This record gives sequence, C-alpha cells and structure tokens, in this order.
Amino acid sequence: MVTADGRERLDLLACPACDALHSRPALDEGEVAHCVRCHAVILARKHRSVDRVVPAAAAALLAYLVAVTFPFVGVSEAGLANQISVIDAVVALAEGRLGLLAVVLGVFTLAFPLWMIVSLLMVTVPIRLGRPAPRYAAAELKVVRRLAPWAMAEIFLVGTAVSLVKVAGLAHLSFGPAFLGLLATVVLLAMATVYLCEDTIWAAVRAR
Amino acid sequence: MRSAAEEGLALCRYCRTVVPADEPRCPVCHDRIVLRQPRQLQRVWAFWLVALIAYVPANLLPIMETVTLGRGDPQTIIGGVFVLLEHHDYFIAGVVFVASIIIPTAKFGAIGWLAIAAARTRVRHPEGLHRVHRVVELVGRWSMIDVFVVAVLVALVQLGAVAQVRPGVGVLPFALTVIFSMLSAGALDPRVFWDKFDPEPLQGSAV
Repeated sequence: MVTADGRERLDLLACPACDALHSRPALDEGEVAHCVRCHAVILARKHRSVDRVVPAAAAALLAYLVAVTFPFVGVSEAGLANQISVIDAVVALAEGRLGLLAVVLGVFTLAFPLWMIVSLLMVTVPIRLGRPAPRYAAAELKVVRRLAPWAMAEIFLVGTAVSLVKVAGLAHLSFGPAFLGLLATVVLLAMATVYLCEDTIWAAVRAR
Repeated sequence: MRSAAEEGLALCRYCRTVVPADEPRCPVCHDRIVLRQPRQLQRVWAFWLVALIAYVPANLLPIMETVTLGRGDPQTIIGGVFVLLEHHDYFIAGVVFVASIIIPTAKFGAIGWLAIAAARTRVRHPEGLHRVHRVVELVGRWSMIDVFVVAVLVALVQLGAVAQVRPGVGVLPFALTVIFSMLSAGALDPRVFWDKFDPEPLQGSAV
C-alpha cells in the first residue's frame, strides 16, 4: 500500500520501543496491539475516542479556570491570616528573593497543563464536529506528546499536601475551591489523555 | 525478528508512519526522521553530569528557612525529612524521603548503568534494561515534589512576626537536578538496547 507521496509504508509498523518490524494490524475500536518482541504497545484504537476526549478536556478547562481564579489554600494564627490563589503564589514567589521559583511553578503547574488542554481541544473539537483534521493537528498532537512528562499539576498537588502537613502544627489551615478545582483538572486531563486515540487522529491527518 | 532499521526503514516518532530511513522528513506530520539520534550517549552523559553537579549544592544548601518569632531555622532536604519524623508524620516523611532522596540517587545509578550498557557492543537482556528505563522515565518527575513544597510554603506562610517561610537557594539546584535528570533519561532511546541484542553466550572471536 503506497500513497501519492509514494514513500511511506502504510502496510508496516515498527515498535516505537524496540524497532521490531510488524505488518500494520487492522484493529477494531477498543483493541490494542503489542510488540511480539518487547510487548510494548505498538498500536491502540480507543473506543469512541473523540466523543470522550472533547467533554473531558472541556471539563478540564472549566476546572482549570476554577483552579486559577478562586482561593487555593489559607493559613491563620494569632489573628494573622494569609489566603492565596495559585496565581497569588506565583506572584508572591516572583517578588521574593528567589524569583526563578515563580518560573518553575508557573511553567510546570500552570502553563503546561493549560497548553495541553487547549491543544487537545484544538485537535479533537473539529474532528468531533465531523470536519477533516485541521492543518495544525500534527503540530498540536506533538505538543501534547512532548509536554506530557513536564505538565506537573498532579505533583504540585502532592507537594501542596506535604506543605499543609508541615504547616499543620504552626497554624490553622483552610481549603479554597481552587484546591478541588486543581484536583479535578488533574483527573480530567489524565482522562482526556487516556481517551485520546492518536492512531485515529493520525489517520485523519493522513486522509486530509 | 527483523528491525525496521535493518530493512532500511524508520518509524516517525510522532505519527508512527514507517518511511525509508533516508527520508529527511515524515510525509504525514513533517517531523524530522531520525533513525537513531547521533551522539545519543554523549547527550545522556552531558545532562547526567549537569544533574549530578547540581545535586551537590542541592543537598548541602538549605532549601528553605522558617522564621518563627524572629528566629530563623534553615532546613536542608534531609533536614526537612527529620523535622517531619520528629513530628511523627511518618507517612509524609516517607513520601519526601523517597521523592527527594531515594529517587534522585537511584536515578543517577540507573541512568549511568543504562548508558554504560548501551555503549557495549552486545546486549544480552534488553528487556530488563528497557523496563528499568521505563520506570526511570515514569518516576523521575515526582522528585519535583520538594520544589513545590517550598514554593507553597513560601507563598502561604507569610504571617508577619508569628511565622514566615523564606526560600533557600538550595531549591534551585535541586530543581535543576530533577529537570536535567529527566532530560538525561529522555535522551536515551531504548531501541539501542535491541539494536545490540545478541542472546548467544560470548565465544572466543564473536562480537
């Protein structure tokens, strides 16, 4: 099987982990193909992928907006109190003596997860609406894949939990809606990434 | 079992299209086609070394300072674990100990071992190396916990004379250690283990 360009071999598939060459399996929705040599997943077709990615990513976006606008956590002791949103935290760090810490926090926990959510939506919404894959689909799918290890909102949540334990003896704690918002963002973004069927989208890109 | 490389073919790492290895760009997603990253192990070792160098000040310098009623109390990474132990928060102490000390140290050993194995002329058990690499990639990012702990505490605990937390310079090299060890593990392509897969026991003039 050869396309107009003539050089790609759509009848073949190599294992991304060990490079073993296979003939490209024809999968039904919900089926997964494993490499015969190293057992890594070489191809997976998710069940009703775009129908599930779009709502999950859209909900993740809503949850994200809650996470950045509402108060996140607060402390109080001896009549003094401090309550912060996630944005406040970044601003407070930027004004402090190690401003770079604000960059680490802002990029890994705020910018990258948002970028992933937006990229997921940009790719899947047009396909969900029955349109052909958009021109930028390849670029956005690459963004999703590249950013995945660096989007660290879930690690930030665990870090927050550890901080709160450390503070517990020192002051009274309070949780704001943004804490749940960020938790929901993490869960929904993970769901959207799991639901995403890259193979379906690349097939749409090839067919364009 | 033939590999794509042996057939003169390469897999596009993004869209998983198989193309001839001499193709400069993937016809589907236009990404650069790289059969195997040249000087791959140099990149792995370079990132590894930066991470290791940063790891020294990360452990020696305080990562934060708690100021209570005017008295400052600087804390290193391991010091933070001891404080949690003193307060009988054993579970959280365990989480921090694993994320900030066990994972980074084990990762240096693991990536170094993998890079040395990848430089050999033949590999007998690629599946084991491959599994270690996958675990390193999966777990490494969680070391960032301590950086976020400092970030949250510094932003949150601003109660004037009662209690204040200030960041310690050690947190920046620690963040660098995590970032560069992630880059180091990411630069290693597990396919090199399989390229050199040779299950036969070593014999006189083999290799």
